Amino acid sequence: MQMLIDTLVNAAMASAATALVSIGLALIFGVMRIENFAHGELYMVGAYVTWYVSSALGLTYFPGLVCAVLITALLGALMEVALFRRLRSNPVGCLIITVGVLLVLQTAAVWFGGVNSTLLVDTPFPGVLRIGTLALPWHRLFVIVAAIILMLALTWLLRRTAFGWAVRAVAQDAEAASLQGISIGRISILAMMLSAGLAGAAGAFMAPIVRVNPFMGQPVIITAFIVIIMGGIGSIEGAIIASVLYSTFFTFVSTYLDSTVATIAGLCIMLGVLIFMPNGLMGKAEKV
Amino acid sequence: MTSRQTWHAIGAMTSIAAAALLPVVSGDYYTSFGTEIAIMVLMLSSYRLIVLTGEWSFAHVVLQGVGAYTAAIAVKDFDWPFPLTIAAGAAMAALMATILSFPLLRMKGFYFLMGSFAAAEAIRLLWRKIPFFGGTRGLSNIPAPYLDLGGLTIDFGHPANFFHLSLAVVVCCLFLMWRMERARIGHIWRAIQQQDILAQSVGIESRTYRRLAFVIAAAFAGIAGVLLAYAFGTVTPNRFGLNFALYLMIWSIVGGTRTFYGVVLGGVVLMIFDESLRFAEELRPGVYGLILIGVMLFCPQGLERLLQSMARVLPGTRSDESGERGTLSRPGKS
Amino acid sequence: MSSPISRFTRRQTLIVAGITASTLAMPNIVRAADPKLRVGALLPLTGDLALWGVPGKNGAEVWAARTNKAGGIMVNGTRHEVEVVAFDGAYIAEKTVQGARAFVDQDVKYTMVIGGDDWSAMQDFSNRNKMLTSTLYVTDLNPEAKYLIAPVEVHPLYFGCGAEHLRKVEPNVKSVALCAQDDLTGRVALAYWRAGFDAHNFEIVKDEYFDLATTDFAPVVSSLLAGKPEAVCLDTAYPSFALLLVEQLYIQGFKGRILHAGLELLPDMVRRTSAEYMEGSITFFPRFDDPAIGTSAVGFPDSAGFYADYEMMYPGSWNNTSWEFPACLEVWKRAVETANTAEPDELFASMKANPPSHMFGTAHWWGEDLFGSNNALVSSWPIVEVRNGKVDIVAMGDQAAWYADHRDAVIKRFREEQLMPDQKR
Repeated sequence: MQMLIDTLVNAAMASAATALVSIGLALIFGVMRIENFAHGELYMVGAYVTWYVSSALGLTYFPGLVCAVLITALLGALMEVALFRRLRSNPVGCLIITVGVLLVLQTAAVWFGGVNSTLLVDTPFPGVLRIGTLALPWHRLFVIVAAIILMLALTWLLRRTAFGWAVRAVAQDAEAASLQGISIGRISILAMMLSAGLAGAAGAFMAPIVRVNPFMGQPVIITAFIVIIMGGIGSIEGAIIASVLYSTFFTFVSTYLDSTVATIAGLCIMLGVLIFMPNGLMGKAEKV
Repeated sequence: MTSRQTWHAIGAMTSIAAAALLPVVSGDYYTSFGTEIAIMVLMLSSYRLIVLTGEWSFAHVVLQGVGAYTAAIAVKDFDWPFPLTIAAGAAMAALMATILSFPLLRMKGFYFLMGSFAAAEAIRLLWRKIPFFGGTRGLSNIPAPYLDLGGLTIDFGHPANFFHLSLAVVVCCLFLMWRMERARIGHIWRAIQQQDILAQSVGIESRTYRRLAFVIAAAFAGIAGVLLAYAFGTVTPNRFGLNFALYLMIWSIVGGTRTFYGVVLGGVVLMIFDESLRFAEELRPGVYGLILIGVMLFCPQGLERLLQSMARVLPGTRSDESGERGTLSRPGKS
Repeated sequence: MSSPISRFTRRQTLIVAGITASTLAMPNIVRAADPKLRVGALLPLTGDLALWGVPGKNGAEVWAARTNKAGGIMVNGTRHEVEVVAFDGAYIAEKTVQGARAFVDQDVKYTMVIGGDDWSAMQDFSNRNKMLTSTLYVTDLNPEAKYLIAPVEVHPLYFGCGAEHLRKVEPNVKSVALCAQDDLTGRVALAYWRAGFDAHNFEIVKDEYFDLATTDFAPVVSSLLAGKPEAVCLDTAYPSFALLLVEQLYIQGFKGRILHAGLELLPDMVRRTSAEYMEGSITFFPRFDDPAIGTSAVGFPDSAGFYADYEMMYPGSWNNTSWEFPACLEVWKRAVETANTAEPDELFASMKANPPSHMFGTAHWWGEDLFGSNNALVSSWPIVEVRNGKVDIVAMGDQAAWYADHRDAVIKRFREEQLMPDQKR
């Protein structure tokens, strides 16, 4: 019974973390049709910046979080302006370029922090909330709450603001949108900044919990792609729902059985979705 | 033969002859490296068969693994000789590809890419889990081929001998692929990539041909896997992971997929570059990444375009660009 | 279309320049006649295990510098300088073989690997090229490996003594939970721990492997604690895994002894939990800044001096492997000076006839029973506990004697995991 509750809590946290990373990727895929393989590395950069600002520079966690978001957003803008803009007509080339960015960012992290050190980020919420036999670390609760707030904010942004409508218009039909006077270039940069900033925030949230190392983005990106496909490409709501379903499934299987079995099962599920429900959970109904 | 084709033939034969001389000028280390390059060339050329039909796959490397594991088990458990293991590796890989093609070929584009990744990675993780395949440690102590034919004995465990053996096998495979591409089937593959619907309207069943490309490519990947198993004497599951699949794609793009030799060029140049950066150990991937970005930004058609520009400067070549006959428009990048 | 000539010069030059530059940058493969003796560190310098590989390489460099300063290695009356050559095997079998090939071209006389995943591909090659190699994993030994020795660490042999020690200090503890990463290192170690716990009347309530890609250890620990163990054994979890596991144990309220092979990141563990929490944790590697190190590490010349030099040359990177690889080198050096040769066949024969003294004292060759060959140099091994945030040696375990007493338990557990020599695929 204890294990069941612990696993549920762990699943909730894993869902929050996965959702945070995936919605950024879903956004950029829906808007710009870019398969950004470097998304996991933006997450990693977020974690590193948080570490640097909070530990190395001695400022605390929240300035670290803010810097992480700002720097990854800037990186995203840079990627759009310098790279993606030139390769609009070449999607596979775009994918390759993101792999290049992935390698550069990983190497930068190795050079910056060393490959054989474990960088520690202290959480501003140490300690554990104890309810009966339950031990709920405060920081994990924080991650869950922060993820929910961010997702609500993003949904509001996309549905209630002019910017959000413009983004969705571009995602639906770029040519028509530009004929309506929407600047594709401007929207692309802003969307990329938003996507990268979300990844950076996810990295910052997770930094006190996981191993901060140059390769921490690798497993994250695979999960993110699985989730996006399950949720339906381009659908934010789909990505969120799929994150919860997938992470819960994965957490339970890896706790009760084995994490390798969980990964294999997850991949089979993705394959199943691709074969039988290629439009994912949200189908064609929602695009961003 | 047109003068362009003469140049091609001369170029090909010169490269092969030069390659064969490698063990004469270098020690064991670079000779083995040469074997690795040869195997990689086979992988790239077979990968290109799939790319010709307009799809990018992440499963190719795992299919090579199928060949490698088949060889390892055939040799260690059943003592099969080299020619038999090559056939077995190719057959098993082709079989696996056939099975995978049924679910996978219903998808296209990005979906196909992710689907191929999912299927391949699931297979790879099964190799890691199941003790029969050696688990995480894989299978090792695969003995090298040994030829004992009426007085002529060759121990292919020596790097130079194995290099020549691999070179011979790879050249044969390349020749087969080259012929295939020139034949009707090659034209159909290009047609499918270009204009799927048009092709179907003239009666070409595109899925069947895509399947054919996928399976044939896998057979060659299986052969590459068999060579790999002998080359290192060991087969481990990590050798067939996403990283290697990504590099295959990268080398193909950087080299260029329009011509037959483009991918070969990309692989050879980048592998040599990668090796020469060994002194900068930890920073190597970063330099590699910068090169990728540079090539994609400034030379998106690949290195083969550069060679063609160079070729145009040489005397005796025609000045028009479309050297290949074909009634279809030139296939662009997918 | 712009003129072909200008397109040729612009882009083509770039590529040609690139290829030329890279060809020139390739290392010189010509083997010069060299009075230097080369030793090779074929270690993971990148990846997860760089935490073991890089300090190992650094330690080897420090050892080489100190040895050369003290006059080098004396062979047949001539003094030779020793030089360390390093290659990043990344703990991947194929890359390790590449490194071995590079070493053969560079005439390396003695190669050091960590062992486990990186040895499996090398065996054939090392036999063919007579590469005398040292490993830290005694389970790599087998009758087919003709030039392999385990001269310092015989992981996981000391775990038996570890279980015995736990029984001694916690006579009332019954249940224990185990976990390790799912690779050869993890499997080998857990097999031996299981035998140890069997032998000393512990009940194993949870026994699991976690995937190498795990980043969040909360589910792993939840699962471990479900059986309500009184002691938790983290086996040879890689350093960063161990840190997160310990942290989770603390958060999830585990109170009991923690056992781990190396506790490499102990200072960080103390920071994340507390000195009191870590008190009494059992591990197997002493620290070199312990003033008592000289008395236990009798086979290591001037350990304090070595430590000081290391901290000067490579500050902040000290780890257990920093002294283990130099200890391997020390054994080799002694053997070379006794045999008066560095050539593999004669050296090996001489070594077997005259076992060099081991890091922790006199030693003998051992291992026939379990591995089919006596190529493990076995001596006693320290058992270490955490006191006030630092590790102190509390006992020395006699590994060979423990094995002799509990042989059947070990063989049974090894067979389960298909680790016996006749089971290797």
